[in-house]
Amino acid sequence: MLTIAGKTFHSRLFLGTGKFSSATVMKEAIAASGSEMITVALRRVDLNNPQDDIMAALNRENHTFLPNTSGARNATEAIRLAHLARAASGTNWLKLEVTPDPRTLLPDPVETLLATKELVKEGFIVLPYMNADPILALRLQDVGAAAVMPLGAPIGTNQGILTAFQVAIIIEQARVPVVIDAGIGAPSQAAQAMEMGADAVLVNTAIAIAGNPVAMARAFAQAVEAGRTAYESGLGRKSCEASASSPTSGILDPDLGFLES
Amino acid sequence: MEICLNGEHKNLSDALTVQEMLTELQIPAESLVVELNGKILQPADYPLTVFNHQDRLELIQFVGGG
Repeated sequence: MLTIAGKTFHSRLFLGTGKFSSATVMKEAIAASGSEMITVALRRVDLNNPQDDIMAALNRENHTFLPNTSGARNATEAIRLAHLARAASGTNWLKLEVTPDPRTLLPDPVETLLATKELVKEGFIVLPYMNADPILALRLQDVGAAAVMPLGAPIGTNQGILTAFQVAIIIEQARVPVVIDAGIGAPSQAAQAMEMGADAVLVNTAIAIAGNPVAMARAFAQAVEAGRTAYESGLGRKSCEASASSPTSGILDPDLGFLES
Repeated sequence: MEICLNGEHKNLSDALTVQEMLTELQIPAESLVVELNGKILQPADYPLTVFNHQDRLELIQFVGGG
């Protein structure tokens, strides 16, 4: 089981709630995913078209809510959003996102580190979204991040784990859970993250925009479980040379003269 | 009296409280947060807080997000 900041999670699939076609589909997808950690965002109320509150559609007893600071462009804005999120949710859990560039939505490492340090001091349980930088991961855990959330690829791109080399180093070095966030576009990629030893994955777009989001949520849950089981089972080593699976003795005399020329 | 509500100018009658405005606007309030001039208001203070000219009010709520 996964433990973050003293809280235990049976599912290693975290789910985002953006981009779903309706609240009903979102609720069914959450149920099918088995996820116990659900992210939400904060925005101004649309006064011309007040929407039903998303929290009314979600079960607060069975899920940990992880408000994000999406939209923050620097540490000051992220800290302000964190305070608003705490007031709205009554929880100290926070997915810290600081993304100054709307084109790439890549996280600002300097501002993310500053905000993590400050928010941890204020008692927040901070899970920072970060680029897949092993040194930054060490810095973030050093200032008290409860987990680190390196990206596989930019948010919403469904490109998979383009950062596998760095993610492997982060996993090897981490003393806090590693959650691969952003870019995971298919169940096979979630399984890959889990096989590498990630503690969890956070998926939103790939499920929300699927042809059948509920079935896709189930597929991701299965993939995450399979990948984790594979990791715990110990994957066989890779080799550049073949190693016969069948016996090498008792083979009929072959004519392999072409190999010796 | 004029205030800035979620980035837009809005004219209000005098002596209106935050609570009265929320009721008037029919805002679903499950996760609503009210920030007045950069400070978060506690719900217990909504009926006690009267607007002043050129107040900056933000009404924030949770939405779907990743």
